[in-house]
Amino acid sequence: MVNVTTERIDDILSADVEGRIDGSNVVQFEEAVRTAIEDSDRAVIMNFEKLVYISSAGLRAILLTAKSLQNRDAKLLLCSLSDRIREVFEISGFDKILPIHPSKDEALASLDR
Amino acid sequence: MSAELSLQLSATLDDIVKLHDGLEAFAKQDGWTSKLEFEVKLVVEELFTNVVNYGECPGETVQIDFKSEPDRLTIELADGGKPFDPLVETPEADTSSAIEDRSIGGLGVHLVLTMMDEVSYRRDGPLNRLTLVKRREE
Repeated sequence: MVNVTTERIDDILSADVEGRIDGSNVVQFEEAVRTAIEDSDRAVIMNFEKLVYISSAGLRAILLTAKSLQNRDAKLLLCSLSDRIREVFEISGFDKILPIHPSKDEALASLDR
Repeated sequence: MSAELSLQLSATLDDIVKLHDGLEAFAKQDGWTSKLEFEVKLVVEELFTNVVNYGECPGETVQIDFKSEPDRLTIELADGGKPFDPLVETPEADTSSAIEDRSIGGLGVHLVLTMMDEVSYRRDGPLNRLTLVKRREE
């Protein structure tokens, strides 16, 4: 099960992701994120505080989101990764292409507002 | 002391839920660390997903056996899909390109090879057989 709860802070979309992202539900995750993002958003923060699992199916969805944001000079930030989730991002080299912050507040603070 | 778990899944992405539920119960019963449980769920999902996506055997049975011993966990996957050795026929994972050039292929197998201590493939009559070994840290 995966749940995505979003809120907009000015032109920044914050998405709290809860549960697990695996091959059986990644389409739901992709859909929830895609429909929440508006063209005027200049950044998206995915908060993984309550994410307990992710496989490469989820990484693929995150990469596609990052690519489509980058195409229009917007960016994707991540925050609050557990040790397990961070390990998956590090092994995959995703920590080299996506900024990872300890908390949502710190992710927000990193954006010029 | 050893414990065993045997799962029969259908080659469909929906059965990833059964895989995770089965492993969760077994991990609890057998006293796994949360790290071991996470890694085993992940690597088996990656290899099972390969069978679903490339095996050309939709809905057919995929047999997954787990044997837990004090010093190691052994996992065997068997499927009747087309001959496919993921260790050879998977592109090398791209873990360094910039976002715009980054490709996703091969990441699943890269995670498997990083997290497991031994991985081997053999074709056995009509079956693909993968054997994984994870040494226990406890």
